[in-house]
Amino acid sequence: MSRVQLSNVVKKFGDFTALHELDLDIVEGEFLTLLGPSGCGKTTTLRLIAGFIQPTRGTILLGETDVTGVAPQHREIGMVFQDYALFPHMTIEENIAFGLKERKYEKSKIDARVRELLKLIRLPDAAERYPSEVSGGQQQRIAVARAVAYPPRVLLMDEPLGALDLKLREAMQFELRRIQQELKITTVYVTHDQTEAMNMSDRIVVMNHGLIEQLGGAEEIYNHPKTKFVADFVGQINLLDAAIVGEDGDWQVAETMATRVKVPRHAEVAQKSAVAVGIRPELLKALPVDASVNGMNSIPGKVKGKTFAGNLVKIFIAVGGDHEVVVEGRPQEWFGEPGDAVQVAWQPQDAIVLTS
Amino acid sequence: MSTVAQQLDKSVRDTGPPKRIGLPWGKIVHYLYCSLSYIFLLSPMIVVIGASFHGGEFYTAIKFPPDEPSLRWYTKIPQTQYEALGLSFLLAGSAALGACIIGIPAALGIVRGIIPGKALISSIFRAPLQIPSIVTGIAFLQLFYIVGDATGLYLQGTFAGLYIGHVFVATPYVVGTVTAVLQRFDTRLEEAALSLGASRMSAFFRVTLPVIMPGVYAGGLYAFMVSFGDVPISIFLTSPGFVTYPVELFYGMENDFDPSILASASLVIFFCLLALLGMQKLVGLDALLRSGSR
Repeated sequence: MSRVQLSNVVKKFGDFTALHELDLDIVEGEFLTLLGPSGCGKTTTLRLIAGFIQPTRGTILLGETDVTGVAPQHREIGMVFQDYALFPHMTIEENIAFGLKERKYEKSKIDARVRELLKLIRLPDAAERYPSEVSGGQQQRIAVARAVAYPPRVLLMDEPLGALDLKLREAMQFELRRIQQELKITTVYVTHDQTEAMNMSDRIVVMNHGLIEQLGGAEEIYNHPKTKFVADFVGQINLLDAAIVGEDGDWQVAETMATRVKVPRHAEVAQKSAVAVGIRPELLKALPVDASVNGMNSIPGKVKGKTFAGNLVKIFIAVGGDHEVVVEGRPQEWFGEPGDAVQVAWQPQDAIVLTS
Repeated sequence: MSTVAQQLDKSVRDTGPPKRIGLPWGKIVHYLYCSLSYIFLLSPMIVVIGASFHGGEFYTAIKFPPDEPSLRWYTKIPQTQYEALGLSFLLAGSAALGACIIGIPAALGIVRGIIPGKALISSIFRAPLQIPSIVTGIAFLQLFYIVGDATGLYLQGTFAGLYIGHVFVATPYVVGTVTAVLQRFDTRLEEAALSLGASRMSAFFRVTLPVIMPGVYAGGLYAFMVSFGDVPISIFLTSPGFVTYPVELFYGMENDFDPSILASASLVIFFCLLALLGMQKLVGLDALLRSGSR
């Protein structure tokens, strides 16, 4: 278990820059997730920490040791791969024991450790079986056990749940988090699934185009996204183009879709600035045209369609002509029917002003 | 006015009532085709084995079906054929081993190497397959004369000379199959081994090699068979009293044919069948055959 520090790390593949001057300080014992779309540099970052690739510039520290340029086999890391990468010709016991055997441990110690780990991953009777004889979720747990058998300084996981179906993926999120907390192991986790990131992580790094867009806890990133990209990538959001046109007490006034609305004051935004006003679908309401809005912002719109997903309903409403917003609510709420004219309303404090 | 959909609908209805399942013609043709293929492939062996049991008058040609079946000719296989068979097994076994020792690293280089001219290197390793064996045989004989004249060390008619020739023709088969399995090999297995603290050497011997082993077995088996059955190269590189089995049979047929040749050939066929069955039991021939195309 160690702190992991990347300073000023640049990685180029030929002319393509995969990472631009990345600085990242991963705290000891923390579960940190690198979140972003494919090609954002998250896997590159993970492979740099593992040592499978070397940075073009910059340094990587594991604990107090500078491991820049050190081969992966000398870094004392644990790695879990998306498709498990279990050794198909070895039993599960041999898979888990691999790292200990490489490090010339005594057989009795190896056996004890393997038994302990099989218990930790709740597969105490699987020792003699081969990877192909157990399910995907079980293979994933075995891959984790193998990675932590010789306690690594950092556990690296590259989309480890990507190949599993939804139900199992959710169960495994908690399972992995439990194992990580039980072992108190510094963990760097790569995923493109924001739900997964929010469920498991202490902190999330949202990446895009080889840059860190935002770093913070799940709530911070969801409630206070710094950029349109983060707002849009983490959860769903309605973005309305707007211009700041004045002030109203504690609020700033923005004009969007030919309507004036109150928005929270944004420190850096002067008048006439072009901004985007973001509102999460669950914070929007659809109201009848004649309903009173009680200090909420409202803009007129027309219902385009609706989808029913059991516990919630999504309504698609065209505002300002053909700009579509999504309103999400409980099935018992009033939403209007397709074709109806409605008001789309929200509390001023629920909007997020985004400048980039 | 009828729409396209209506026309389509009509054309379906025009074909009359839905077809019932009749005679399974597809299956019949399939089995017929397979049976004929098998008969075509197996008939030479059936004739050889059948004729080897001929116990009647001695003809100067093969007699099939045999008269008065007997094992008579099996007792008359000359000692020289047993000796030649021994040499052939030794030679084919060690040539297959040599082909693996050269072929596996070559395949690794071709698949993994970051080297210029990879296509050229890979076609050089395929070249022995494209040269007619008889040319290879003559070339080696010439080469051995030249080297012999220069150094006083003549390799023609020695095991070493024969061995070099056989490794030359056998290696491409190992390179081919091992290249094929390596291309499908998931390099993340190696990364996993490295991340667990294994050295590159250890990752290769404990993970990569065992996983690509089916390809090695398949290539090794081809190499063995190519060496074991070779006449055109061996005929130049053997010498009287130092002869491989196929060359011995070749001389036998050429000079003084008698049915003992059929008997010994039949013994080899039986042996090969046993060896294949044994391999099937040990490593699974299905896995072996799949490794070429999986």
